[in-house]
Amino acid sequence: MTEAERTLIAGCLRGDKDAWDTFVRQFSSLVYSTIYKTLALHHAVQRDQGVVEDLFQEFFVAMFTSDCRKLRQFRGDRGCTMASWLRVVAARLTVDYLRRQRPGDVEVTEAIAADQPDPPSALITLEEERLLAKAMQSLSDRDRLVIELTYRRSLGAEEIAALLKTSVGAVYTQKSRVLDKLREILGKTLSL
Amino acid sequence: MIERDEDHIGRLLRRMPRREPGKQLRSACPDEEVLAAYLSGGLGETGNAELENHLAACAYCLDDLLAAYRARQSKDREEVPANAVARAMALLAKPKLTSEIFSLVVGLARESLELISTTGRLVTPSLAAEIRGKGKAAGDGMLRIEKDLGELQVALEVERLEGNLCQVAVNATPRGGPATDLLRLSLCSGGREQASFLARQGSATFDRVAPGEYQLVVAAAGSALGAIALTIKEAGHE
Repeated sequence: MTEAERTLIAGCLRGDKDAWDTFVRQFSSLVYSTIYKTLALHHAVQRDQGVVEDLFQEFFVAMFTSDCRKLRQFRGDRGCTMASWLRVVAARLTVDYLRRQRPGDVEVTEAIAADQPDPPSALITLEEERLLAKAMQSLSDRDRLVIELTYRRSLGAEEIAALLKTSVGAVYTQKSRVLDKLREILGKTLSL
Repeated sequence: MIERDEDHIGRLLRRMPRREPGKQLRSACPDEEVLAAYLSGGLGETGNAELENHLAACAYCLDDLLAAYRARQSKDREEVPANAVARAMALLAKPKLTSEIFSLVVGLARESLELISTTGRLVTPSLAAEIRGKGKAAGDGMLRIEKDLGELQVALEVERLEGNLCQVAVNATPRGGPATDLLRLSLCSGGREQASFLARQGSATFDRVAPGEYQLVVAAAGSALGAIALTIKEAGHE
C-alpha cells in the first residue's frame, strides 16, 4: 500500500468527508468501467443501462456501510495496489449480479437440445462425455485450468500465458500434452 | 480405433455441465485481495499454485478473476455520470467541522506526568483510574480530564508507563444513560490513523503511546462527533 493510499483510507475510516469524496472521485472511473465492461461481455448492458449505475452505487454502499467494513478489509501487503483490489471487488459484485439473473446450466441444456443427433451417435457422445469428465479429474489442477481457460472460457494462448505468468510456448506445450492424454483415454476406452 | 481430434474434444469439453462450487469449497474461496495480488504477480510461487488449485475447481472464483482481468486489459474508460458520483459521495453527509472537544498538553517528568495545559476539566487524581477500572488511587503518573460534548460526557485518562510511554484511555458515555458500543474511538497522528476501536461500554484504551501530537476522534455511524487534541511532551521539554 502506498502512503497516499494509507492516508486516504485512514481518512475515510475516520469519517472524513474530504477523504471520502476524494476516494469516490479517484476510483469512480475504474469502478464504473469495470462494471460496464463485465456487463458488456455478457451482453447485459444493452438490456438495462440503469443497472450499471445501480451496481456502481451498490459498490460504494458496500465500501461505506457497517463502519466501512469492506474498505477495512484491504491490507495492502501482498503486492497489489488499491486500484487492482477495487477492480476485483467491482468485478465480483457484477458477476454475482449476473449469476442472480441467469439460472445455472441453461446454455448446456440448450446446446444439447439444438444438436439432436441420431440415437447411436447420442449414445457414443454421452459415453464420451462421461469418460472425458472422468479423464479431466485425473489431470493436475494446472492442466485442468489450462483446458478450462482454452475450451470453456475461450481465451487465446497469449491471454492464458499472461494470466498464468508463463510463456506462450509453454501453454501450447501443456495444451498439446493434455490433449494427447485425453485422446489416449478416449481412444483406448472406446476402440473396438 | 476411433480418432479424436482437437475440435471434437473441444466440443465435448464445452458441453460438459458447469460445476458450481459447493458450500465447502465456497467457504475456502480467497478474498478479493488474493485475486488482485495474483493478477499483479504479488503472490509468489506457493501462493500462485494454491490459488490455481482453487481456480481449477471453483467456477465462481474463475469468473471473478477473468472479469477483473478483462476489465484491466481494456484500456477504455467509460464516462461516469455526474449524478452517480454525487450519489456515492452523498453516502457520507457533509458534517460540521470536526470540532475540538478539548485539548490536553502533558509533559513527561521523571516518573510522573505533568499537566501543562488543558481546556477540559481536570478531575482530582484520586477519582482517576475509573475508565479502566483499575480500582487503585491514581498518583502523579495519571491524569483525567473530562468535558461534555452535547449529550455525551467525554473523559480522557493518561497514565505514565515505563520509559517514555503512556497509556491513553478514552470514554464517551451518554449523560444519565447506559454506555454505548456504537462509537468508534480513533487515535490519529500526522493525518494518519494509528489505532481505532469500536468502544466497549463506551471506552477504548490505546497502549504504549509515545510522545507526540495526537487527535483522539470520537465518531458515531461514520461521522466524527469531535476530537480531543492530545500532546505528550518528552521529559526536558520547554
